[in-house]
Amino acid sequence: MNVRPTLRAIPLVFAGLASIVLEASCARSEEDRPYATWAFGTEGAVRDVCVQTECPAPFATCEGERGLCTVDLRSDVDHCGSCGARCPRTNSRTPWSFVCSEGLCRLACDPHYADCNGRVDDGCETSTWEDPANCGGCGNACDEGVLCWRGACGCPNGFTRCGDDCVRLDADNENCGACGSVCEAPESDADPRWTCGPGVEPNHTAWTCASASCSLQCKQPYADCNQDFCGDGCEVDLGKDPANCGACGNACAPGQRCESGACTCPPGTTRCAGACVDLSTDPAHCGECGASCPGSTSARANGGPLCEDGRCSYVCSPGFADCDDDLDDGCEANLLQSQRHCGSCGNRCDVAGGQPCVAGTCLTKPCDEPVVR
Amino acid sequence: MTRTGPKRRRRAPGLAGALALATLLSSCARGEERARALAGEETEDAAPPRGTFDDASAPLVEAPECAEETAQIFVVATDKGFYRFDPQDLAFVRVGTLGCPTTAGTFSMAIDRRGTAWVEYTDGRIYAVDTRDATCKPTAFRPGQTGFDLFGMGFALNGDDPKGGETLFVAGNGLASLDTKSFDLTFLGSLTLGRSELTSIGSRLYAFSVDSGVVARLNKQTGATEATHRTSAIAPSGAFAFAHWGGSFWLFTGQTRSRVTTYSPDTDESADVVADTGMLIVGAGSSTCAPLTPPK
Repeated sequence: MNVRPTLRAIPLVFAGLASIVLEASCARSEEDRPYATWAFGTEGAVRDVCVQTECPAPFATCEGERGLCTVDLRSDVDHCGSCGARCPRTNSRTPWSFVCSEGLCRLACDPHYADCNGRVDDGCETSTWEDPANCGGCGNACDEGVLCWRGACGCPNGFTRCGDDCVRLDADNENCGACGSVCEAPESDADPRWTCGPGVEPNHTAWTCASASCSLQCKQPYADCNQDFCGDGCEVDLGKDPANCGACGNACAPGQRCESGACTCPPGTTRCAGACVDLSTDPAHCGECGASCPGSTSARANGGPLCEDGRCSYVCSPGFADCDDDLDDGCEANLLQSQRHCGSCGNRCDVAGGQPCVAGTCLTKPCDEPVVR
Repeated sequence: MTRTGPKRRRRAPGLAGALALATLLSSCARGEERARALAGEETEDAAPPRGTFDDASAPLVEAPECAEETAQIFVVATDKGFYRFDPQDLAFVRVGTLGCPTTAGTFSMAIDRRGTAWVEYTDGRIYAVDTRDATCKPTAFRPGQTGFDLFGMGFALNGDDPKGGETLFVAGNGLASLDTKSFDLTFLGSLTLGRSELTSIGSRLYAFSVDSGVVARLNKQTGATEATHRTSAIAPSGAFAFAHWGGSFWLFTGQTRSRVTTYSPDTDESADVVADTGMLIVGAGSSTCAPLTPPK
């Protein structure tokens, strides 16, 4: 909140006057009074704004739901368009569900399915994943004899059709160079692919399809960094060797480890509990390893712990607040709907009078007749 | 956004009364608190109120549209590293580490024309990140609306003229638009692609699914597929991200570490341009300020 320096000079008497005006403008009732605001002072005040109990669209108070005006009729599947208007339920076996959007129940198909016949009763009846008549979308027909593979007609560039599948002949051990050609050790000792001698398979090697031919290659993540393939085979583990991390000759800096072929931890990060973290920003390791910032981390906490420059705080999502000063339940107050914390902590609506809080404001309306107290 | 520190700081007495008055004007504090504050008494409750909407109404990133850096690609990795990626020299520059107030992981991202990165985390919440320094603010997005828990995201222009504005689209339990002011999500229609990420070329919206390697142009009103392109970036069950730059799609895919593949819809050709980025990228985005054709 920005405060202008001129506020420093505000006399106390003005502050007191402002307080009265402020009281008059608060749409809140501390004493369960039936009138929300009044023009000035207390005794003899003329009230011109009264409690409004009707919900403004699209909100409603629906039976069985907590609170007043808490149901959004635009998006609630149990009250879609009006209270009790429930969208059809589906089970987990049907590849579709119903959602409520803009007050209407809408059919939502699961991935790879579509409602091509436009009938709601059979839902999303068409698989667009492999149906050549509806490949990737309703009515998208593949040419005669062309495969529908993963929602598109034909095989991608670099792939070849083998039966009902698309494969990479250059790198597929089950289809190496040709459909059905399995890459494995040659049966004949005379086969020239035994490059280190008949039956000799050096350390950490395997028969592998590469460039569409089958040959002895280093297994992942090993490499032949000393160029002695038939001697010590693939002697280096690129995933762990700090002198050859990820590639032959790629040395990690002093103090770094090689993990999964990457030098860790990267600059600016520290190893904590097996992971590389930024101690200045990580709420689980704030300032030092294991120093977890307090407060609920639940997705329903409507907020979460923050670590800034290695110091902890707790941040509420807009519209929510920690009104009970208990971080274990996070930002428990919904300032948009709470009658007791409407718009800000402690700002009570007229609970006894049934005054709802909508969008952070206690609802009011002009009084039918001005009321003098 | 409201923030609660472990200890509230006490302010200078001269300012306390005025600040308390300003607080009252905005929040209608409780009566006894008002009395103490107006008497100039320094109280713990003179601290800013918790749970007002001060920050919620502020712009997420105060920057002009289409500043130079918004024309590049940004990516976010599983380690919460936030990077700027220059498609011309294929270099990643680490902007910083995302410090959003959550212990959840990163899931997807979209970039708007003012340089705000909208980042979804695995807890379903969306945070607004300044692409200049990776600072982060929570948004008022309500997770799980209309069955959308986790989703891909991308902006598209509303028309050929950028003055017509842009819309944030999300791909989860179908295609939906997300109002970045009210954070209301509007369901538009089903998607046939499967789990998808989104990007745009101008006003045209595209989805990419790593399960099939398909890039599809989507109807922005219904989610229906209008055109299909086939890329070689296929990695079932892997992480993936998607952006557009210079007339090509940039695909970030991998199981433990990502590679970068480009796909040109004009030539229908894919090319692996970075074999190993050294990180697993889960979100990528380019704003609608990105060039539509390759720079000369």
